[in-house]
Amino acid sequence: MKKTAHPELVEGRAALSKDEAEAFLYREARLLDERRFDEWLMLFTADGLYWVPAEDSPDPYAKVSLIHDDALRREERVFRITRTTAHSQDPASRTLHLVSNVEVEAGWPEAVVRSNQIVTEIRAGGGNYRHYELGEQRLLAARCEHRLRHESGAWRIARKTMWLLNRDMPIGNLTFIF
Amino acid sequence: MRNRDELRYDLDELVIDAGDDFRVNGLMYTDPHIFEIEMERIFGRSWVYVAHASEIPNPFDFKTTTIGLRPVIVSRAENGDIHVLLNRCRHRGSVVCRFETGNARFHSCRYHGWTYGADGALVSVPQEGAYPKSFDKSRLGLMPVARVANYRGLIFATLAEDAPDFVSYLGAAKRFLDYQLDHSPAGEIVLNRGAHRTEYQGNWKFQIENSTDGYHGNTVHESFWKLMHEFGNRGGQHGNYAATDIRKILKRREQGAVYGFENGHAMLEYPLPETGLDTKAPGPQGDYLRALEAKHGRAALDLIMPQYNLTIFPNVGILLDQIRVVRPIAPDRTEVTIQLYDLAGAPEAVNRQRFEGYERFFGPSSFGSPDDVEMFAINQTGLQAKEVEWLVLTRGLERERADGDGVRIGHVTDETPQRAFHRAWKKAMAA
Repeated sequence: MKKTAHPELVEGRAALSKDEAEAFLYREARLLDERRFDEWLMLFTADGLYWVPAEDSPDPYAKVSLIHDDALRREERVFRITRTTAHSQDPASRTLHLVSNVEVEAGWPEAVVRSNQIVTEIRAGGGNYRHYELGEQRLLAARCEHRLRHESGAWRIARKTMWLLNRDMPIGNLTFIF
Repeated sequence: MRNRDELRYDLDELVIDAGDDFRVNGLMYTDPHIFEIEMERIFGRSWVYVAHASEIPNPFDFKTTTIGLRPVIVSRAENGDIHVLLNRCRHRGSVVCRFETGNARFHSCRYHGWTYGADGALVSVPQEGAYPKSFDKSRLGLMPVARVANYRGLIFATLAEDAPDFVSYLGAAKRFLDYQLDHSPAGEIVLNRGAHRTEYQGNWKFQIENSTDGYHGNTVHESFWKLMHEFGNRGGQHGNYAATDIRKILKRREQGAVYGFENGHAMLEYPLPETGLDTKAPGPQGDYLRALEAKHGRAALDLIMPQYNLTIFPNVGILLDQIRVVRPIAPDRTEVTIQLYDLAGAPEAVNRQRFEGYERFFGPSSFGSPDDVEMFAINQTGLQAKEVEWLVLTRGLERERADGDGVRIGHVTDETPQRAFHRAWKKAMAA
């Protein structure tokens, strides 16, 4: 995108500020942590992609991914978690996102927001009930890139990519949305 | 009931196979001593899958893997030969290759620098002059496995000099392995789509037994059938289901068969899609079927194209477009590497469709396999109640039939495959 002399304007439009970008990421994190998945789905553009590669891969079809969700598969993912008894999410994961190191590459109508995220996750059995893999608090560390597009009066996610630090290692249950 | 203070058992007491009784002792999933013996008698003696030739296509390509707990290197030498070498320096025992895959003319031990060629030969030793006259480099190459078999690109290795040849080991399961590979119009699969690497807190045998279990799907994967009912197959087709109505799916799941083979191989078969094979269909799917028809003839297609979930004893599955390697780490810890493969010679659109179906059901974030893994975790937990001792595996024992060559065929929900696995397990452990 060609930038104008004015630092806060890109091609005459108000650029995405760092404050706005952070607020966007914080809100997304809160929607996920509060399990407001239907609202989370609305953050994406219709052609938006949510991609968590399993290894370094130039595009989501070169190698199998951990998550490779277009709109339909995101909807399926939310349906599965909220409307069916998926054993791997029963009990469900609790998550807590920390968002940091936010950088903005302003553009119009698309902007790139880079961040580092740590997602803490636990499936608690509740009380004293335990089985293997329950009750263990796990950390996912990820480098994130949100490609946002200004559409219908708001910034929306055209592509969210998360490169997990342990993406090519043996990894356990990742059936929660992060 | 056995006294817990003295965990003494004969290894052949752990599988009871007598008339209408078939039970296995829970200790085989939990006991560290039994696990150690498995690493010797099961993994140290069977033919174990180590690689596919397409993973190491060029001279000096290598990958590392394990046979049981043993680290091994699968290496292609300059002349194209594939060597399977124990990844242990002959000097003081360090691994000499520390990467999952790569290309290297030499593997050099990081500790003192002993350096080996791609064929395992010891080619250089730093400051060699200090060794006694008897020091003979030609006897100190990386130790090769006893034998290597390349079956249509699948590389198997055994540490047993006296193992049967690999085709005899496959026995009657060979026909079905061929059918799987014949899904490729070129007769060849290619592993070039990366891997899902997963881990779970449970015994390695759970994953192998489950891979041919036609009984668990209705309960364990109910979530997935509901998803198919709601969204259809647009997001990627799983298995041979044309219908997506949940009642029709559950009915379809009663059709097919299970097989138990000699030597512990096992299979779950689901029939052709209810719509049949349309070799007249326009587009890539029709092109694909026509290519197979031209090669094998129409009648053979009905044999080649059902869904076959095949496991080869002890720890590899070839099923649903993937090679699944189950790697034991500890009695209650297992890693599984799943590699989707491409069908060489199939239209790109067909491989893409398989890719989408695979991703929907398999991998740590998918909608299918994580629910299986949850079962392995609750299974391992329940088995801590050791006083119960036995797991019951008699399902279908009276309705399965013998089919010659030691093959038994059961109803699709029967435990014929698991019994075949445990018979081989018992035989190997008692030997």
